[in-house]
Amino acid sequence: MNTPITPITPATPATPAISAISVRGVSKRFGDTEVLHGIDLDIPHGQVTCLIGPSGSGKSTLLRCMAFLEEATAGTILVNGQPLGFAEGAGTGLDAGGGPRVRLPEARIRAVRSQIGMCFQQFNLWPHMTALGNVSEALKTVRGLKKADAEQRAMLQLQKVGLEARAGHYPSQLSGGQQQRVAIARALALDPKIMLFDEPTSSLDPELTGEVLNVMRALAADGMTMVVVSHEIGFAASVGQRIAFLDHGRILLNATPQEVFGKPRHPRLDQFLDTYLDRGAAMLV
Amino acid sequence: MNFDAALVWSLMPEILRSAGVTLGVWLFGVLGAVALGFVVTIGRRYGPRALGIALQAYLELIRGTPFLIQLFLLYYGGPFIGLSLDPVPAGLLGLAVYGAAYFSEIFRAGFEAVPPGHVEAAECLGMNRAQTVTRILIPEMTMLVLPPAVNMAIILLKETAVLSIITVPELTFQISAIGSQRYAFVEAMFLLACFYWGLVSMCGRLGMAAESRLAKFRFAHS
Repeated sequence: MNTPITPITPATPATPAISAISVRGVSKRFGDTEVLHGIDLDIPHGQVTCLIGPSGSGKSTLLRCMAFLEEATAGTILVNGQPLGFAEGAGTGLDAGGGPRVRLPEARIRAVRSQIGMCFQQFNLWPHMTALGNVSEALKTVRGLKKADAEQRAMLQLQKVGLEARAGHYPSQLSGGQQQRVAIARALALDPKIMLFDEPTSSLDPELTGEVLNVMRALAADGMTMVVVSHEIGFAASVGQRIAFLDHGRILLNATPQEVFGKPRHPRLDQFLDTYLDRGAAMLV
Repeated sequence: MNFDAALVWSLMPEILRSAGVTLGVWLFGVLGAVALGFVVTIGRRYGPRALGIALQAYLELIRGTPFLIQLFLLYYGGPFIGLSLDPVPAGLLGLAVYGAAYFSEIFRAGFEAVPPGHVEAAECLGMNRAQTVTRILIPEMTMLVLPPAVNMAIILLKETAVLSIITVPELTFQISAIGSQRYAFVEAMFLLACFYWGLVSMCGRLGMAAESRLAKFRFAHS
């Protein structure tokens, strides 16, 4: 039952060339529709990378591939240099060249995945557990910690997101913003090296969006490697250090916010941003 | 026609004893049906394909035929295949096998109603399948199925009346017997209806109490 995950040491931690996540030629097909067309993307360590783009551009699918919630149809994803889910060629895993992809064993997938924490648009808290229960659950079941130890650590995480007073509340007794902060604490409790956020504020009203973004800002300031799919262009522009703009399953732009949002702008991005400016959100660079 | 209250009163001890039998077979029958139904659901969800097909056939057989006929075949037909049971065990077995088919479908729907994201969250945190099923899926499914499961238990309570055909000395059997002996059918049936109604309301109350205790676990809104 309790299988403590052996910590993964990055293959060659000294080499700065290794990205936190390296996406190589990833395609994703749902039936007849290909939603990602051979994506290449590097997520640098200690930075916030924002994936922006119109609905249906494939940004959420790309993020879900990085969490191995979707299995890419082709290509590989390396997490700190280690293949996630599939390895190219037989065994080596780092050989980007030919050879058929092989699916790695479940335990191996779980081990690589343990470096990644994920937050969802719908929070996905478990309704039958309190905030403390949600945060401490995986510490007990996955890490094998004793209940008291797990809860003590969970409490520290809840403090970080400012919700220690709500530890005994069930999700249905919390606001949307509080639920998302608990979900962030739940992911952080397992000490991930990389945090993925899938539209973390899209189901929140503007008033509650702020409290979640503040938690994310603090996390970024701590040097957490983050990948954020967001419609919060303002957050992307102010907190993001890399912006990747996707359209129709391809990355059109991948640069710093200044380069992406500054003039002259890519015409497709201009068109996309216009919809925001229409809504009076002229907070862009 | 006169309603003979004195007659009813004089027969009360006998009637109460049979009400106890009804309550007993219902309680154990439901427990058996829930347990068996759960096993069937798990077998269909996680078992090998062949098992799934066999269980599907069982469901269709049970749901496609009347309980009365199933019970009759079990009790009077059982001895031909070497299954000779006394009335009460036969009734319990029949009730459990019959109810399990329906409970199994309720549980299946419950499992399917758990938001996939709740399972994905567990997966992302490194929980394995067994942990995800026992810690997340089963508890959430249980909350979701409570109202239809209580409903099913109430239906089974009334189905216990069918056990009278295999001479289980429960309410319907005893009160009908009294009705025929004393030639007081209306009194007997009226009394019978009152008893079932009382038992069903009690069961409904228990269900409501359970639901309100679980209310705080209800799915959160964003």
